[in-house]
Amino acid sequence: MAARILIVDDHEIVREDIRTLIDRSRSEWEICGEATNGEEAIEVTKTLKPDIIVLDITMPRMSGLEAARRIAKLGLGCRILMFTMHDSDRLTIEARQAQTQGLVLKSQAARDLIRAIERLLAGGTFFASEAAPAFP
Amino acid sequence: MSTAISDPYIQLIPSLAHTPSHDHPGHVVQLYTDDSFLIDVLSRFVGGALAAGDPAVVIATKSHRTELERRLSAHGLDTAKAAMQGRYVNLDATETLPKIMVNGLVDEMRFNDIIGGVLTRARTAISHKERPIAVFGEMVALLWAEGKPLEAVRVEQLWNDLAKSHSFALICAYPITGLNSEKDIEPFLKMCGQHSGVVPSESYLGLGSETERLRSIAQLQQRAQVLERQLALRQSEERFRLLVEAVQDYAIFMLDPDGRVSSWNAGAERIKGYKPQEILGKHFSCFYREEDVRNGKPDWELVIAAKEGRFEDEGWRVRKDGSRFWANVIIAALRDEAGKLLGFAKVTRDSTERMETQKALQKEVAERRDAQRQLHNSEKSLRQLSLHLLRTQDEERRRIGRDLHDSLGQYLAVLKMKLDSVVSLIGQNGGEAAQDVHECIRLTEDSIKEVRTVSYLMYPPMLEEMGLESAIPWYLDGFSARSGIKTAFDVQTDFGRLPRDSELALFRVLQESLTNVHRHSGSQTAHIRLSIREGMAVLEIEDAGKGISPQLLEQSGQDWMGAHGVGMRGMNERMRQLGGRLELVSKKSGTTVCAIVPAGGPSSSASAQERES
Repeated sequence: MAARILIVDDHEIVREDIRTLIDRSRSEWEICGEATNGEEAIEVTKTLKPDIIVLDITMPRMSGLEAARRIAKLGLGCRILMFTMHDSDRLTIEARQAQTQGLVLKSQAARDLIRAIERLLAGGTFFASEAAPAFP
Repeated sequence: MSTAISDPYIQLIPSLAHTPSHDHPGHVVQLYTDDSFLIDVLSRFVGGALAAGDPAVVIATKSHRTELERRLSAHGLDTAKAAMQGRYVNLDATETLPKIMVNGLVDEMRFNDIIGGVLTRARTAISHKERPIAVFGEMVALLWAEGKPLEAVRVEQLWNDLAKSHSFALICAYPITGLNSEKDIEPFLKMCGQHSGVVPSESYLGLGSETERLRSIAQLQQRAQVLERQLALRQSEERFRLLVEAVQDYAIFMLDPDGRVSSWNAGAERIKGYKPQEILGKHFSCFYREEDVRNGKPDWELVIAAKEGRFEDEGWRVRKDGSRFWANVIIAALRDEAGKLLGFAKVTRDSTERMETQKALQKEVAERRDAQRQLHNSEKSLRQLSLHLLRTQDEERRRIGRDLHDSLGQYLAVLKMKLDSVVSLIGQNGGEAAQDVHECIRLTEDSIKEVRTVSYLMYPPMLEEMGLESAIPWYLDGFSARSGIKTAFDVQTDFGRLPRDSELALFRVLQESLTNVHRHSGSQTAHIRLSIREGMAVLEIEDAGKGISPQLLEQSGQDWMGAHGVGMRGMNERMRQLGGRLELVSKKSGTTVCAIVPAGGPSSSASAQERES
């Protein structure tokens, strides 16, 4: 199933790794664009209208959650997958409230990212938290 | 018309009908100008007694004695025989007087011995012991003439005392010519006071009618009353003068209408340094500084006092030696009944000491205010420094937290992804290499957790994204996991977001308070409440621990934050800065920390207050 994916993260190394992971796993998926903060993500989304947005949370200028809320309001039908270091049930709730469709921990990217994108493309959600979340 | 003055002690005998008789015991004073008049009275008085067979005692001057003897003989009385019988005693006053005196003063014992003895002897000479004795005495007149009116009064008193044990009618005689001086008024009245009656001088005997005599008596009464009033006034004035003169603390003196000193008291001498003889008659401008005199101040003060009735001033005045003193001055105009200006009364008080004390006090107050201001400023600087430190610390923590999370965290996350993909590349049959990679993955995961924990404690990353409502329970989950303390969190629906600084400050209070709960309270639970009340965001952290000991609270006094360590004090400062406050209630059942900040950020008034202080 072809898909156009937008990767949003302020760290080049992370974006690159996601790209590698996706390229290796699903050659039919296209990384249509990248953005480094929430504001940029909104702008690029308006232009590219991706199917999937892999969206980091903690970013300068505008956080991923805020960007997700605004993108959802655009009504472009983009599916949003939060991609974060933060590991918390609370965050899952927040992510749901921000009208995203999934949340994947960066530490579990290899295991969950592809599955999650597939789930979202199929119209489902992916909020599989880890069994034993680490708290601060 | 009354024939006796109202005053009780002067009983005037109005007419000849009342001329003293030895049959009426009493003590009468006879005033006279003419000797022959006195002899008339005496010969009737003494002669009456002798003729009746009663005793008589005469203590008179030599000339009066001689004249009396002659007159009595002329009336056919045998005084020599009566004297032989002992019922007539005729003594020389000049000779008798020294016998009753000791050291120039009348001696009571001698008077009683000598005079009493004479009376007793005269009485024993007759058969009817109860008959009164006619007594004439002139020692008092001698004493008066010698300028000893008080001794004369004393003799009159002794006669009165003697009357308590002897029955006699006594006439004392004073030549009225000796009673003209003003100084005699008081002794005269005293002397009259010793008598049961006063017989006016013979002048009135020459008056034709009873009416005229009565008028004469009335005049005498009036004269006596006037004298009395004058005396009372004089005494009152004298007392007042003595009082004024004795006053030491105030310069009280009089000025004539032109401003020349006309009286001077001890206080004036003490304060201004002039003796009365040096200042009397001088113009009072010498008490003023040259510039004041040049400006016409002294005269101007008198003009105001004359116009307004009174002038009050406080200022520098000059002493005789040229030194200055701070004076409180009152000048009052003195006017007679017709309103004519008689002069001025001036009362001056030396207030130098008071003024200097006041000055010193003012200086001290200023110094203290200064010190207080300095203290306040240092406190302010300290507070600002403390706030600055807190902010710096916050920024530092935030930076380190972010750095850990953003760089090291991301690298570790990517490292883990890579390792995960290595595992999938070498597959399940990678043997030892796969095992090593799995070990690497485990270590990387631990590192990620460690970095996350440290960075979250440094700065709660969710706070900015999600606000207190989310960040607090998130933090509480971690806190409970680490400490084993159960936490409950109540948040008001739609709590919403606060300004970033306020959220961070409240979050720090939460961290600090929970650290204290964990370390000191012994509580197994902590209840956290977050709400908005009257425009203020309120965060409460309540534990069920042992509370802060009263001793500790007392030691820390008003600075109760001290009981909770530097951290809480810092929180308090932060709350203040934000226009809020930190409250602490500690009981045996636990401690509640309450942090309050304006929900809309520091109010303008709070900021203004902060700037001012």
